Amino acid sequence: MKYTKSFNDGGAMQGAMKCRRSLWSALLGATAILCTAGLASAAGSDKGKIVFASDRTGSWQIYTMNPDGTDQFQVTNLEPTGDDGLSPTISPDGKQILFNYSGPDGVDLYVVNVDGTGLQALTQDHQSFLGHWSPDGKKVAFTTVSSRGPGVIAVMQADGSGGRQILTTDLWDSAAPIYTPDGKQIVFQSSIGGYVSAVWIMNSDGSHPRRLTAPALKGAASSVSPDGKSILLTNNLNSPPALPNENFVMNVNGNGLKPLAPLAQFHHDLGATYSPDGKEISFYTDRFSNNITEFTYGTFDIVTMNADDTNLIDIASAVGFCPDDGNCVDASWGPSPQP
Amino acid sequence: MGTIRNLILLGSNSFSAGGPGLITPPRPRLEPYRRLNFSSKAQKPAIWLMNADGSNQHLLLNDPRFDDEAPSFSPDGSHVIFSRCGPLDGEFPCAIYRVDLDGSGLRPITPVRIELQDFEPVYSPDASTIAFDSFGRDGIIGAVYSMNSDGTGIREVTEAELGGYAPDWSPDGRQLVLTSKCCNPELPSLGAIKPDGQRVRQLTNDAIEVGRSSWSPQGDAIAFRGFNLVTGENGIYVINADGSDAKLVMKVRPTALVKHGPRMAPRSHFVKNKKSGPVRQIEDGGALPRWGSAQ
Repeated sequence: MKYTKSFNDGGAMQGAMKCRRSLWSALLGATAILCTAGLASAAGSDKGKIVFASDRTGSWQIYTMNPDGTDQFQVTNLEPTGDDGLSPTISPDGKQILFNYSGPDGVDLYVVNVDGTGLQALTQDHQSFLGHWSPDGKKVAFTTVSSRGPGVIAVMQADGSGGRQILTTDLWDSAAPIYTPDGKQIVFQSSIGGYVSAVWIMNSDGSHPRRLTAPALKGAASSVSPDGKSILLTNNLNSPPALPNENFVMNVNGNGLKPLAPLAQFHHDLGATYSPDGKEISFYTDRFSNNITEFTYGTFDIVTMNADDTNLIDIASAVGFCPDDGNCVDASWGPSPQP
Repeated sequence: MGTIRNLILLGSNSFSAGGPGLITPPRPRLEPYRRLNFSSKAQKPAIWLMNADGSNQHLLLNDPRFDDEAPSFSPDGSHVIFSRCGPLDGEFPCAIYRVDLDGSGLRPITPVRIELQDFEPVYSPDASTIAFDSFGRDGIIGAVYSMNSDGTGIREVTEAELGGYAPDWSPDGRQLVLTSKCCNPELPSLGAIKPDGQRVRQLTNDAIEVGRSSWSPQGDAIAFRGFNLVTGENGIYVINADGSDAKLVMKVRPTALVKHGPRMAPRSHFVKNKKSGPVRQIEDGGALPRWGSAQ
């Protein structure tokens, strides 16, 4: 497989240097990288932004970049936290980022403008996380911990005001809601029915929940295509690091499951999301990591590829390292700020 | 070769068909060659054998690489089946193994797979089938399964939603007793189910949180660990097989009570008469014992 590697220094507003590494050098673990410099740094700006978390400055912070890896910008300056799972996602108008942050009292949802201003908490219950905007930007679906213990899917106003509506049973764990583009349904992951993890879909009022994936896949959805027809997902959720996490795509009704971008043993592709036009996919992966073991996750890069499983490009290398659980970089593709 | 007689003891709440039985007089006299087997948690879990009076304790298996736990005898007393957990690619999966009573013939019955925890195997009375619990199999959090005695034909006994663990056979082989959240998702309760997964019956009410259980050899009663949420009493209960007349027969310190984890166990083994008879400590440090009939 050929792939292209974009090299970035991690600083903001730097010009791009695009590098290409051959399959052969990758297989040999060679470090030689053939580079071509001078591509326009703003080339990706009309294709949306990718938001992600990185510990490159010594603490976990949220960054944005163009889909070609250029124009990396540190959005937050959060107090260092031991929890590396920030799970940022860009609002439908491209102007805000929703994320979760663990303080000393627990985890809450926050929003911040993409320029780093306007940081505010949406929840203060210290047990809410993994939020996702409704397509109109007026609501946020998120995960919270029920009084019984399991995680449940809830929905609230996007500014955190008013009450919250619990959408899923509190007998089993559910998490990571994703609105479909028409806002009528929510895709989520759940152990409903006694399964380690499966992809579920329900109406946005919580009615008519139904399982989309077979139990043995141990699936978890990461994105719904802009046309509402396809779901990106990963396998082997809640499984040992020695089992790979591979990306899959399937129809929104659960049919047509097929793998994307096969990878080697002990490696992990996580968090695949569609580009705003649905033609490309980004995800974070330790497939290029040299420090991976059967016991751990490796160092994650962020890559893009065409939605038809071609042209894999490494756009940001060594973004984050979370060897124990792989829950750190959380790259997510969203729209550029709308005027 | 001596007479074979089934003797089963599971944790501190098991029945025996002979010896210091919990249930039914007359009590057959213990034969001197009859032994118990159990796991010791003194260091790493290992398989031990001992006589019913606690004497003649000796290791059957002691490989430091593995945790060997939850042993039970084959009905003919020729070998032991147990759960062996060991390192694999950074995890510690468990599979069902068998070994002859002289330590020979060690071999797996279920395959070792990184995401699997196969545990607590127990033979059906006719030795044709092994029931066990498994966690992570085919994407199911945990459930009770059965298989042919050679490891083929693994099939779900309980549905994924029912879950369940710690199965034990009725003496006639027509039912399994197990612990599950069959009927109250917040409370593990005692249930009986046919080996084909049909006709689940809740045996305990919602006042008692249930741990492991053991069916009496006569089939008329079941012993189990329990915690009464109303009275706060921890201990060993006996209940009729139809679910009636649950009685606390032995109080256990809360710290020693197994609640519902598949690996937790009391600190010591006791043998107790059903009607508040004396408790004799026969061993210290072991776990998950089962009476058996050894040749």
